[in-house]
Amino acid sequence: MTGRALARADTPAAADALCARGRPLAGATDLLVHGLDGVRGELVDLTAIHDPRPPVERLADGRVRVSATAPISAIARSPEPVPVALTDAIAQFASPQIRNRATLGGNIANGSPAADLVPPLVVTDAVLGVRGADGRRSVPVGEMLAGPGRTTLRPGEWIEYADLAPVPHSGFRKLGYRRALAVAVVSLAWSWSPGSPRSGTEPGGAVALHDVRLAAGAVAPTVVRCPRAEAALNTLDATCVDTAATAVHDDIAPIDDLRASAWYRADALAGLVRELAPAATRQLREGDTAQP
Amino acid sequence: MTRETTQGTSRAPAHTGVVGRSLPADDAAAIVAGDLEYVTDRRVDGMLHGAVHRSAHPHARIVSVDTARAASEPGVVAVLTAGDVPCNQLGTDSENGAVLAGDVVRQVGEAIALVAAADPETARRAADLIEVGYEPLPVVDGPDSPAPVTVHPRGNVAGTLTFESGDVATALSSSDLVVDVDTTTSAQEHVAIETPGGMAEWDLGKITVWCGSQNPGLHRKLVAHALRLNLDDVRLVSNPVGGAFGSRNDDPAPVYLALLAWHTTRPVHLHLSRRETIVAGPKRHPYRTRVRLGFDRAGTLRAIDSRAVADTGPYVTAGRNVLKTSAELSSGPYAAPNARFDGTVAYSNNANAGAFRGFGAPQVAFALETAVSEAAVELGLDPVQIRRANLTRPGDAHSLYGHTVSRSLRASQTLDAAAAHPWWRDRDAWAAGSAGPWRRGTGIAMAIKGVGMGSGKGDTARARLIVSATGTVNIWAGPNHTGQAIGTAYRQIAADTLGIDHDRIRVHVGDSELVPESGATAASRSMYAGGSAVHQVCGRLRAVLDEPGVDTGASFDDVAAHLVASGRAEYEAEFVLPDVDDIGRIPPEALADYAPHAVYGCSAQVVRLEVNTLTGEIRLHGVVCAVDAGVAVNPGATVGQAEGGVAQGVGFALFEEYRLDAGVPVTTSLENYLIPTAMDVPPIETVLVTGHENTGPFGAKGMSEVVVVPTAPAIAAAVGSATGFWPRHLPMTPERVRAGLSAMSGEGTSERSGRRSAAERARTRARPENMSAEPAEGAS
Ligand SMILES: Cc1cc2nc3c(=O)[nH]c(=O)nc-3n(C[C@H](O)[C@H](O)[C@H](O)COP(=O)(O)OP(=O)(O)OC[C@H]3O[C@@H](n4cnc5c(N)ncnc54)[C@H](O)[C@@H]3O)c2cc1C
Repeated sequence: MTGRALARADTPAAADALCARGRPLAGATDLLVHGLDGVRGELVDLTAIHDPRPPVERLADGRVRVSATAPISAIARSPEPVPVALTDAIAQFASPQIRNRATLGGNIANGSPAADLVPPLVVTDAVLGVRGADGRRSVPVGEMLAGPGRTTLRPGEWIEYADLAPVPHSGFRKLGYRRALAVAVVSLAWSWSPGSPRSGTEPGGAVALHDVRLAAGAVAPTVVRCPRAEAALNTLDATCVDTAATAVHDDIAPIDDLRASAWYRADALAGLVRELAPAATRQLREGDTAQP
Repeated sequence: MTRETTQGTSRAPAHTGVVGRSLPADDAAAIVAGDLEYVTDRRVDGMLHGAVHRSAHPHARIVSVDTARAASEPGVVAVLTAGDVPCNQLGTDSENGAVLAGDVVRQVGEAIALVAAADPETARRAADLIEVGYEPLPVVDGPDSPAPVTVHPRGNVAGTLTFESGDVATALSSSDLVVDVDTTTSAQEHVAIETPGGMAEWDLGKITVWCGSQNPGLHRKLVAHALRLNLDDVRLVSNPVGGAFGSRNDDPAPVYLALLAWHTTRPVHLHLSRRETIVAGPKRHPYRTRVRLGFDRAGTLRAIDSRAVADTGPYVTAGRNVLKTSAELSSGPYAAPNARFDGTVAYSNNANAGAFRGFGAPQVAFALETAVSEAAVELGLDPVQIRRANLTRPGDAHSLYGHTVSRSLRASQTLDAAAAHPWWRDRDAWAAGSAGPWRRGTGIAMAIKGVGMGSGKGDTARARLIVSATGTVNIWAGPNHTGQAIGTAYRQIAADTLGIDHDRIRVHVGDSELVPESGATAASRSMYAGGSAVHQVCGRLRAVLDEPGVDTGASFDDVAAHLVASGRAEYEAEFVLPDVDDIGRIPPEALADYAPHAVYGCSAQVVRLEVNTLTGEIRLHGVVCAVDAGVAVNPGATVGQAEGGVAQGVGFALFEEYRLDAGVPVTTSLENYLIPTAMDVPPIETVLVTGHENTGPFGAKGMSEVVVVPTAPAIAAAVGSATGFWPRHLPMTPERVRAGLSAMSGEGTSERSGRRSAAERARTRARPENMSAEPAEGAS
């Protein structure tokens, strides 16, 4: 690392200018681990941007704007709530030390299919605020993901924030091979709304669901939505969940690697889909008591 | 806890005993504050830095080694290859391996060249510039490898051990129930926090090596042998070291250091990276173990039939002794009228396997305890009851060898102590709380492990004592301290033997120049062997103090001055570990070949956990660890050993698996070789069982290995009780558990993937009818 220049951007505009010839660096929890051998130009420290705004803000349209350069522990601590899927994912992310450094922007830009913060962004229809010397653009998170280690960020661009749509119920579950500091073998974020206006409970007792979104990690070249499984999940009865758990196999393209076989990834994801039933029922119950 | 007081009158009424008290470790404050200087922290002016060039191939002939570019790098002082080693062998025969490979490499990571340079970066760069030409050879990737070559000219069998008592075949065929369990256990990495390394200096014809070692005596011999030096010209300072667990038993780092310092005549520092340590360092021997147990209907054990195949990698260091331990412990704590063991240690081009806490016990215990637990289910018996009914009783004959087992064995009390814990007693209520996919279960398992090197080995520890005129008692003793704070326990033993305050006592360990040869920090022997030597040397001084007129009741300062003045201030003693009283069925001339133990430590453990039947995840909720250590000289340190052992057992059970693909390592960092984190280790409740080993210091015996052993089978039994699926392969990864559950429920596992699941592969590997690991025929 000798002789490596680190430029501190203290304003977003300064970051735009510096990123035109350098490489953004935030928590450095990926970049330093992967090594700087292939990295050209200087490093632009995005964590030095002086930002008077809090890491999470509620926008006028009801969405929440989450900083892409703040440490994710600050997002979890924020008084302004973010969707549960995101706080769940932060809670299951690495370890406290890493959470005090790692950022949302780095997690997205790193392009890992196992990135823990991406599935929550996908199920909340997040739109990323991307900028650079050539101006700003809004990119839906799904369009950002291009493949393992690849995104559609253009040279000189950096991610400033993500705007998340409000969702009544959401969550995230990571399956790692240990309880901390482990890469996800499979992960699943979900969001949904109650299907009927009152309690979501149909006359037969089955729970009706509306606008179900599932996003799975580490089962395809990028984090993916699972439209077939989503379509099957109209109610939370056993048949529906069975159908969704079977259908999810066709939503994904897992591979064998060091951590797990493709068979297990698919099987475990189906397991996480089955687990949704009790999770959703519980949320509904708790949601009901919270709302008079 | 019972405590035996030493003979003689108590000379200092003011002294209250410290044996049985949890004194903090001598170095504790310095360790916690980061002040302790470990061997790899050592720096001196003008020192050089070493680096190792290692093999990229699992098996290849070396056709060329070109060091020209490396040697011409500015700052490089020496580049050493096989021809530069005066005697290029790490042990007494070629199957122990070369210091630096010259003709053939037999594993990835094998050392080929050493570099010394002005700074570590230059040394590393130069080592990478060394060009080695290889002619690849077929790879022997395990005991079942079909490769038409052998790892060594003599074949792929490094050793075998067979023994039978009674008539196992007949007993099995007449048993009411035969349980047949075929298991595999993984190559486990020690993950000592400090990676190997240190410093060496060559001065006036003598070499001094500062490098972590569990066996300074052996390391001195290896260095003297490689450099053709007189043993007296080799000094090894082997601590402070940041952990060992067996990995510092025959680690070659001291030899590399010595070689570099000897060639350059300058101090040389070397510190291996984690990756090098994982790739080139020793592992726990991966085993395949098949156990068949015969029971009668009432649950009485009729026969134990155990077969084990161990993969020792390319060189045999501890392998044959590991197999010896497996043989002795293949019957565990149980009494059976018929017992057989048939074991093989095989060479391969996989990771070199060596000593690891438990030393052959965890592998066979996993199979045996799983079989006992399954037998309990089959017979409708309580898992505690079936164990209790079949335990070897103190003073009984050992099932396999028939030697007498020490009267201090408290196997039944240890089992009862574990089973008395609410986590066992309330297991039904625990199971009833299962919710959704998370099924709750509870398991129990137990083990014994011999203390010391075993009978016929002349296992000895020594101590030297000098009283200073200022009233300090200095004691030089071994075995060495490798993280367990044995020096603190030696002080406690010395203080109570002498009846003086422990603050007056200084214990020195780990310097071969000063400490008399005391053998390895291994085989759970430090407390028992070293503690006994300390007890004896203090006993000599104590006898003098008890002579009329020596201890006048004055302060110890005056007594000490008098001892020095009268030339009675220096003492030496040795403790030879007693052999078994009766060697049973072992032919007297072969006693050392089987090396049975009289003294065993014992542990029984209870595990409560949850298994997610949808994903195969396991969450541990608690481990009870009951330990029979005789008298715990330092209960706090004993509990520390127990908790560390359970954590390592959890790793072995659930996470740790060093994997290779055709001899090429794939889990080469702690990112993909997972060990438990603080989040993965559940609350551990250690119960110290009251006991007393008459031949040990103040009644103590060893316990540091046995605590690793029951964890995996107790976890497996808990998984079995939660789900009905009985794991046979370690580690029990979520994938293996899930594959097992889906196979049990008849779900298809592989229709969606071209690849079979890990559990299926492991199942296919397990071919019970083909257990013999004959050497592969053909070219060598
Ligand atoms: C011990 C450890 C444990 C980990 N555990 C997890 C885990 O549980 N789950 C998980 O998902 N990840 C994990 N990671 C990976 C890593 O922490 C995350 O991906 C993290 O979010 C990266 O953020 P960062 O700010 O540190 O990125 P950096 O390392 O600073 O950057 C990563 C990449 O993103 C680019 N970049 C950074 N910020 C921006 C931006 N705002 N706009 C555009 N490009 C940017 C950089 O140029 C670089 O290419 C772990 C890493 C470590 C070291």
